[in-house]
Amino acid sequence: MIVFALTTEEIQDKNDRIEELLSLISDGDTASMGLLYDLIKTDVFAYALSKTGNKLDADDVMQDTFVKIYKYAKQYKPKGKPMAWIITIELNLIRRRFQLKSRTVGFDESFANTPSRENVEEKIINNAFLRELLKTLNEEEREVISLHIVSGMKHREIAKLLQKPLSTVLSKYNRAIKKLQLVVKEKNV
Amino acid sequence: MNHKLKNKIQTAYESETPDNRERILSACENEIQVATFSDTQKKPKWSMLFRRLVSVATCLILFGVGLFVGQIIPAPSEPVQTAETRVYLDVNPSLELALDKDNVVLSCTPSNTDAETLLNGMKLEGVELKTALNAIVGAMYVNGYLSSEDNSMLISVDSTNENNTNDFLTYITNQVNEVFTNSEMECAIIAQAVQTDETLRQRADEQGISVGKLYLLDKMVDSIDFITKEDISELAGMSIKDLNLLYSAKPEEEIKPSGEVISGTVNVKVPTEDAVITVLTEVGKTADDVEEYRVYLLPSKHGDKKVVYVVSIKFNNDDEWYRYEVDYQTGEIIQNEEEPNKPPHDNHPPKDGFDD
Repeated sequence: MIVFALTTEEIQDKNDRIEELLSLISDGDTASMGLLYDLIKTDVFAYALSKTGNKLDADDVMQDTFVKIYKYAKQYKPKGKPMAWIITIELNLIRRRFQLKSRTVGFDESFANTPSRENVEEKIINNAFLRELLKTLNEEEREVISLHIVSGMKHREIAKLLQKPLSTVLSKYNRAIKKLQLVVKEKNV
Repeated sequence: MNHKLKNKIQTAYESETPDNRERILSACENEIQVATFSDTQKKPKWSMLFRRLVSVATCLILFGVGLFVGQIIPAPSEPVQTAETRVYLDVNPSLELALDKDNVVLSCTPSNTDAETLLNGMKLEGVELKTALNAIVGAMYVNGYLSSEDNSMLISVDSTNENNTNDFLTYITNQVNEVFTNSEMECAIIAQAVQTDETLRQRADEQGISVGKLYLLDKMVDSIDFITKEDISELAGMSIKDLNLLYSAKPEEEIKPSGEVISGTVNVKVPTEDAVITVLTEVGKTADDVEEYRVYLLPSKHGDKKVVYVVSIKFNNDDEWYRYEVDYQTGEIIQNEEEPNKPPHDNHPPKDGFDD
């Protein structure tokens, strides 16, 4: 499958469509939820995967995020930036999830004591390039990459969303791109 | 460069995105059932004249005979399907008021034994909400359930008319405080809009608490980082005052899940500064010895089902943090233990107010 990154106009159209669907969902139109899912499933999944680093958690976060979107669609006030609202919901769920994990097991412990995790992860993630991306980039770099490239958010919007200086976001993005260029070149994925 | 790489990234994520469409839509369907449960309730058919007559008659009974006339047998409750709005009051007595669309009481049901005692002899069916609140809150005050020291109340409103929920929450909060107009007391009230369903009721029954309290606990799980679902049983045993303290200290939510009005201040006997001074006195140090400290209101670690001050303190020339629990009512140190290298819950706002 070949997918092309969206142009500015396409991103605008997509945002308009998301807002339209959110409005319909808030009026009780359940069919629109399916359409919204089709439209933003990759955005939601990519962000969850970039933050959690594993597909199983990302899968759960994805479901929880859509349920929350459905539940709180009425509270969305159209401002032309629906992805920021959606990612905020998702980010809260992810923070909550890791807080829960850290309380239950101890965050570092839960990962450190799972020596086979990387192997399992390799089996679960089918796309070789994505596996390399997850291994090569740190969480913050992955986060910026997914928000900018998959969700089409501008760096300025990302900076505002993550409450970080624009320069930090830009530098993380550029560093991530350089790392990925190297991965493509050296590993031929 | 980047076009090719960007497309590669986009394609990679796209190809890996699982197809959870049906599972997720099904989960959403379950949500809508919760959201629209109250919409299926029928509206009552009371004539205005009859309501007024009943209202006047009941007020006369209330004023003439007093609030606690044990001989009056409570009228049978109205069927739950007829209620337009349900109001759950939690102090420690917990009770449920079912109202029609004009806020006239259809039924008043105790949720625990304290409420049974409180409501014994009160006939509230047919009276207006304002009158009913006056009677109930007044009785709570007279019987010592509410006082200047224990001034917390949880009000939960489940209404089919969601548009006016916030106005209604404000109205009911004001009505409660009007009972204390002529005294110095003010209630610390959390008024919340709730959506109840059978699952919530069942879970509340299992915990032995009201649906309003359980709803608040669910919100705490959602909004407070260090509280999880596993804590609900522990928190269920806490007083409304302790829950109010915990909930009031939560970080501001970015997305508020429901209407909410919070008013008044929970009365805490021991101020934050005194808690720190108590700890310093205990360990024989002074403010000059302190490098850094934080004070939080958190559930006690010792299974007491209560909220305590947790003082995390780091002294000069010492790498360790020390943790002390201080009773906010008595100022006594409950227990202390050495902490790992950082204070708990860094995202929890520290309290101000300790100056040398």
